Amino acid sequence: MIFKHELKINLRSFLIWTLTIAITDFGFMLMYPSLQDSLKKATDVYSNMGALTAAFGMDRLSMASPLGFYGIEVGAILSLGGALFAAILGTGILSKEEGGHTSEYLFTLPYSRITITVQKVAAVICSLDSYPFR
Amino acid sequence: MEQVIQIKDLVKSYGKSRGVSGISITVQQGDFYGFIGPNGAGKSTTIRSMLGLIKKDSGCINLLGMDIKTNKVDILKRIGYMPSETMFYPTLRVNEIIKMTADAYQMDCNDKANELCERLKVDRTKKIEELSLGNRKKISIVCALQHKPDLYIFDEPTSGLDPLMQKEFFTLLREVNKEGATIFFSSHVLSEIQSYCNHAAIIKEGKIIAVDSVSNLTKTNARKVTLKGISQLPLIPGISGKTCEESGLHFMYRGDIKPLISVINKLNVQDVIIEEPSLEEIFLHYYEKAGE
Repeated sequence: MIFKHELKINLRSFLIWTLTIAITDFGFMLMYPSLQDSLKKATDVYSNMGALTAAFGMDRLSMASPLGFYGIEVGAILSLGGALFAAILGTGILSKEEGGHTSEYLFTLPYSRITITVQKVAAVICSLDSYPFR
Repeated sequence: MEQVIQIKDLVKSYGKSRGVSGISITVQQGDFYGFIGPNGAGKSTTIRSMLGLIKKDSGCINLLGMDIKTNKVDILKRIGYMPSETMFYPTLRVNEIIKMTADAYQMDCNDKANELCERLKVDRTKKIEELSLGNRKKISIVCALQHKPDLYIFDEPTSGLDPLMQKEFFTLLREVNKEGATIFFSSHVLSEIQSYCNHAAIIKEGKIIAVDSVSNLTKTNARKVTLKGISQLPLIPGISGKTCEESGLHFMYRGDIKPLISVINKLNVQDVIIEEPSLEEIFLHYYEKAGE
């Protein structure tokens, strides 16, 4: 019950985040053709940076190809956005009840605090799982 | 008779500031119990401790024969609670909130909810964020009453409600009270307690200063008297707290009203106001008694 309610409450921010990230990614892909030349040079520079190269996946993908650019740039935005979204959802699950003064309503319904917390965390995990990670 | 609420030596403090210290209240089944005190006296603290919303420092709270600490969920199932600052999820609609609350009690409360909404004139299609405090309170009443609990706890229920709705609200309470439910509500409006409650406790600065039946509490029949146009008063027994201000001569009178009126009759007064003392003055009365 709380699980369903929580998903519903989070739905709007979930859609906004997903849409924003999708638009940003699309914008990056539009920029690709004009960046093509400079990306070739950048690829050479980045190829010898060891762990950093690996962290961005540049040892496996080449930024100079459209798919490689998508994998590296867009992937970075996706995971950054995802991490931020996770942080916002996670910190908000209980604090929004206090902030919105709804805690007195929720905590006097016949649920134990553990039930409430578990269902809320489950809803957050479910929301994050639906987020388009790479 | 079963004791529905048993609070023994409840202590709760918020750091250095005062909470409540040593509160003991017993409420019998079927009682209509009032809990009066000014703002900040500890009414909400007591009620929140009763519901397990805040952790008490020490003391014992038993509701419906169960300890709130160990049987919270079972107790909450049989309680209808209405907080003073009623807030729901702003983006939800009234209908959704009522349904969500009924689901929490795992009950089909449709008939009762419909009846309550109709009597309280609740618009069920509106979103919570569009509603005023009074309208949110009405939804809170529906949520507290629809599952027909055994014990009703209200924290300043009438603030924000218009007089018509207040009347309807107390009519509803009387009905459930007649059916055997116990009602416990806090208020700082003395007239509410006087008109509806059987018993009452007065709290001040975190301590209970008087517990009795309402008829006994108000038996003091102290009256606040204001005389305009004079500054001197002959000696009348039963007068206390005499003050002379620009607005007139104020004093408290305790005793039979007839001798007072016959004295006033002989005076050259422009106006006479005899009224029930305010809550503060009743408090003072109880404080004087405690000091004797």
